[in-house]
Amino acid sequence: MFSVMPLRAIAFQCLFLLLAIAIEAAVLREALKLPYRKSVEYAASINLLSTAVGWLIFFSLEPLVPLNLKFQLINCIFFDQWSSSIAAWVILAGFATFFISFLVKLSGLDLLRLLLQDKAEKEPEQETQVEKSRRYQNTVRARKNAREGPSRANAVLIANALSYTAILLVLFIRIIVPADTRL
Amino acid sequence: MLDAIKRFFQQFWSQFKPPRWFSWQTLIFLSLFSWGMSLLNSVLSDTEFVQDFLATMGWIFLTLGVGWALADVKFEFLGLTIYPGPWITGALTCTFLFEGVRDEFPALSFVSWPLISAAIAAVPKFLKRGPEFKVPDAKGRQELVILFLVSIILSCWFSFHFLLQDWLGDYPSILADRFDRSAFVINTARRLRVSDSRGVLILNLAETIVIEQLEGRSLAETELWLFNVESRVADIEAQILQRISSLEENVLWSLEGSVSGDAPRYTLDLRAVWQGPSSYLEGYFLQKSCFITQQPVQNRPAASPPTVSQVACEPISDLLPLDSIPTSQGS
Repeated sequence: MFSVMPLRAIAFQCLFLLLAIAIEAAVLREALKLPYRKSVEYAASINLLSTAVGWLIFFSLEPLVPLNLKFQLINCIFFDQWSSSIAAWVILAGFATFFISFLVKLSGLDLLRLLLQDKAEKEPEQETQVEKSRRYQNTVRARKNAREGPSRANAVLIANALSYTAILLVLFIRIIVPADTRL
Repeated sequence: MLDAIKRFFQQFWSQFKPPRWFSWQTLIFLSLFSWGMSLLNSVLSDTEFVQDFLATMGWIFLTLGVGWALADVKFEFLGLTIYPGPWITGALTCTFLFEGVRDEFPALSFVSWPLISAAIAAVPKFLKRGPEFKVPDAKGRQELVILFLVSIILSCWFSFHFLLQDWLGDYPSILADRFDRSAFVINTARRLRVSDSRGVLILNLAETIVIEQLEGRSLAETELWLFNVESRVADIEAQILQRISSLEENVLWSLEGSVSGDAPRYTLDLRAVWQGPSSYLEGYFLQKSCFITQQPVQNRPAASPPTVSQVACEPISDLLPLDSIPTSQGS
C-alpha cells in the first residue's frame, strides 16, 4: 500500500509554494506598504488558500472525467506522457487555474483583512467617521476606494503573474534537464 | 521471595507514582487499568458491551493523558518551533474514531488526521485562564489561518495518495512499468517485477489452454487450428477474461497470436497487448513463443495418425514497446 507514494508531487508543491510565497510577499510589501512579517503572512495565507481550493476542485472534478481522459490523466501522473489530445486541455486548465487562483487570492486577502481586523482598531475609526460630514466622508471613501481597491487587485494580479512565471520557469527547467538526472 | 516481589512493586510505584492526583500520569494509569479490566472481562465472562466500553475508556484516558503529557514538548527545526503533541494526540484520536471502518475506508483516518490535529492544536488558543472562552488576538488568528490551511493541504496530500492507490487497485498492471519520468510519484519497491503486469497471468492461462487444445492432435488438426489462429485466439481471450478477476483494466488487455514456420514445425507467438497508460508511447506487449512439433506415436493403434503435436513454450519476455511487433508471416 505504501510502495507507490506521491512524494515528488509533494516536493514540487512545497517548492512552488515557497517560491510563490517569497515572490508574492515581496510584491505585496512593495505595493501595499506592509511590514515584512505581515507581507509574508499574507502571501503565505493566500497561497495556501489557493492551493487548498485547487486540490478541492481537483478532487471534486476527478470522479466526473470520462474514462478516456482518466487514462490520459493516469498517463501524465505516473509516466509523464503528454499526448497531443490532452495538450489543449492542459492549456485550458492552465488559464482557468491562473484566473481562479487570482480571484481566490484576491477574495482571500479581503477575508484575511476582515478576519484580522481588531475591534480596538475599528471603533475609533467609526467614531471619527460619525463626526465628519457625510459629504466629506463620501469623498474620503471614494478616494480610499480609488487608492486602495484597484491597487490591491493590481498587486495581487502582478504577484500572481510573477509567481506563475517563476513556477513555469521551474517546470521548463525540468523539461530541459535529462530524465535520468532528475529528482 | 514474597519480599522481593513486594520490594519490586514498591520501587515500581515510587518510580511511576503520579506526582499529583490531577496529572497526566493518573490518566495513563487509568487507561492501563481500564484495559486490564477489559482484558480480565474478556477472560472471565463474555459480555462484549462491557469489554468494549472499558477498552473505549482506556483509549480516551490514553489520548487525554498523552495530550497532556506532550503539551509542553517542543523542538526547533529550521527556525520553526514544532509542537509534536497535537499530532500524536490527533493520530490516537483518529485511530480510535475510525477503528471500526478501517477496512472499508482506510483513507479516512489518514485524511482526517491533519484536520483533527489542527483542531486539537487550536483549542488552547481559544481558552484563557479560568478556563474561559476567548477570541484569539489578531496574531493568534493569523497563526490559526495558516495552521488550518496547512492541515487542509496535508490531508489533500493524503487523499491524493489514496486516490493513486485506488487507481493502482483498478489498473494494477501499471505497477510493472517504470515511474522514472513521473513528476508526481515514486515507486519505493526496489525492483520492477514483470509479474506485476497481469499480462503474465493472461499469457500463462493462454499457454495452458493452447496446450489443452493442441497437444496430442494430428498434424492435420493442428494445421487447421493454426490456420484459424485469429478466431481461436479470440476465443481463448474471451475464456481468459472470464476466468481472471474482473478489474477495470481488463478492457485494456487483448490477446493476439501469430504463426510462423513451416510444416511440420510451427511457432505460435502469443502476445498480451496492453493499451492502457504506460511509459511506452504506444503501449507495450508481453510475448510467449510456443513451439509446436510433431512427435511419432509409440506403439500406436491402427486408426491413429503416425505423429501427434507436442507444444513447448518459452518463458515470457520482458515488456516490449508496441511498435516493435514483428510482421507475422502467413501460417
